[in-house]
Amino acid sequence: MEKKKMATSCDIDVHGIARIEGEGALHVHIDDGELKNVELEIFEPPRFFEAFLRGRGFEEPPDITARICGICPVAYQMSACLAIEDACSVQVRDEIQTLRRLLYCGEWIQSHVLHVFLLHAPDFFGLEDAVELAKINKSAVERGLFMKKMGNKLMEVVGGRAIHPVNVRVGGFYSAPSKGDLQDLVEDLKKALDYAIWAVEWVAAFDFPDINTSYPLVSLVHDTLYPIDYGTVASTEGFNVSPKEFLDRIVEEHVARSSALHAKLDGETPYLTGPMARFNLNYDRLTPIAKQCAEASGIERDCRNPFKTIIMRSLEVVVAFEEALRIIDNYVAPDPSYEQVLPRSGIGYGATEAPRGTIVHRYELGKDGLIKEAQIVPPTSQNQAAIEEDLKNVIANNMDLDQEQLTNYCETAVRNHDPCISCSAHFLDVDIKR
Amino acid sequence: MHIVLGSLLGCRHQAIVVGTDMDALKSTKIVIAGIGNYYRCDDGAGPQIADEVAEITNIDNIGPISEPLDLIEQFEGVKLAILIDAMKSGEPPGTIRIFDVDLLSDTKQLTSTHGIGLGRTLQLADALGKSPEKVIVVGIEGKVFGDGNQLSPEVREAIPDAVKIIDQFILSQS
Repeated sequence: MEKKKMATSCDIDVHGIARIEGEGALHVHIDDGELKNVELEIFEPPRFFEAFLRGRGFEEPPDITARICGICPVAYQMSACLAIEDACSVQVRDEIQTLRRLLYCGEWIQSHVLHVFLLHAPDFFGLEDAVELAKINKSAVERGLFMKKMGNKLMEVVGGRAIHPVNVRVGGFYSAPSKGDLQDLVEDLKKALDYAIWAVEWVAAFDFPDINTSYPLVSLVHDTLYPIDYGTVASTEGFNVSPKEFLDRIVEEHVARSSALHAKLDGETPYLTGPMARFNLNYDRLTPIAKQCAEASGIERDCRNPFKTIIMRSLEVVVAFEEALRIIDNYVAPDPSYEQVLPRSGIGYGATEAPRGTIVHRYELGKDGLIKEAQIVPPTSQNQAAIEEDLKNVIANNMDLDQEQLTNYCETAVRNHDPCISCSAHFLDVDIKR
Repeated sequence: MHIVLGSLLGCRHQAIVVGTDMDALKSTKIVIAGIGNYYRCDDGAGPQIADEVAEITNIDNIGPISEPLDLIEQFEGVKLAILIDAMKSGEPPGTIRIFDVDLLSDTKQLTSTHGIGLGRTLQLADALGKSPEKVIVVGIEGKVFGDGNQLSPEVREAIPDAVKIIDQFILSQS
């Protein structure tokens, strides 16, 4: 990039960061060549889901919390189910858990592909958006749309519909798809897997700035599988704990600039969840083709460059297609399609991996089956502090860029993490002051 | 061009046709789609109108569409697409407007993780060579967009006229 010199003191204000979900702003203050302040402001109104879950029946959270987000409703449904089942001491059969994983693969595919092709890739070509990208690389966008369609199809067949699936219930599914329903998708899923393999190669060839991060990474881990639908919570700092113990370790605090809570480890350390965390903590559990793609792409197995999340996200699309095909190949419809869950007094925890990162639910139930307390910790509120750290890093290393270039750089740094502001609002405009 | 269709059709609600060269349309495959959310009050007007038009005209209803991006695939082989969406333009609630899609090209719609706006989706379809020969957007001015599945009285009252106007428009194309 040709660098244009910028005045040593300035303010950069972005009052509506594009290609992220929801509304927020970024304010940067640089004085006499020194970075004074970076604030990620989230001004979406709080949504009070946790408050209005109180007093609702124990079977309602999957449907209510799915409405928090149109792009990752399955993440909310799955964490809610696990938490309620934990409270009621029910563990679903493997066949049901596997069908949940298949539904979740659909969500990962459609969310990740949308982000990689329509939101993030244009940044690496200096283009405004996917329309401009389609003008210079029609085939790439067409492939992206095809993959996204297959994610939607999986969600329709397993979940009943592509947005806000209606087939999920505490204990499993209202009905299980037939083997034939799933087999009908196989040929197109294989074609989409080929496109996903190509996509890793395509994004790995982009030019990446040399930025590295040091904050802890946190993700679910699992003995054998790449983490999606359940697991324990591990970090690059070395802990590996239950979802309950993880919630005990994080402190959510309100900061005046944000209607989303900021979560920090032990109340003081910013941390990051999402593709970079999952990739770093689960490299050995990448699916076979995804691992080959990772090796061929040249990405470091301990990569800490947030701009390379586009490679990691693309690898996770490969994972999701491989897993979908594996699950369909071995599929036996669970019969019955759900476990009977009887309410009991207790507290339950559920943690899964939303496309953007770890999502944890906690419910306290009364013996009447009504919810006494609910706590929902979505990925974006966990990632906010780490995103601010990235912004400080990017700005400190690029003080010589002019206002426009630095602003664009900052916006890309935020988009690296695919924040979902509505989910967290409990958030983007950029404002740089010098 | 700027035609007030309502007076020609005997409807109380006026349809303002903006920039559409209807005479140039000799289409055969026509699809209709309502865009919006039934649970956001007047945002549900588009899908409701599309349902009613599809029922009386027997044309393909490819909606309801909650994510405009989904339209691209469904545009395959289509000559004319009629998209019905609630709008907020400052006109009185219930006002019906028919737009030539080109007029949407300058709209600065945010593209977010949760989807791409209708204008950018149509441009993306065009860039991919998947755009129908003609796309008509019918807008109905909404009043209330909060939570709820009830249309405002003004919009509810305008729906029969909107259906009639679109039906007449489709007849003029065949």
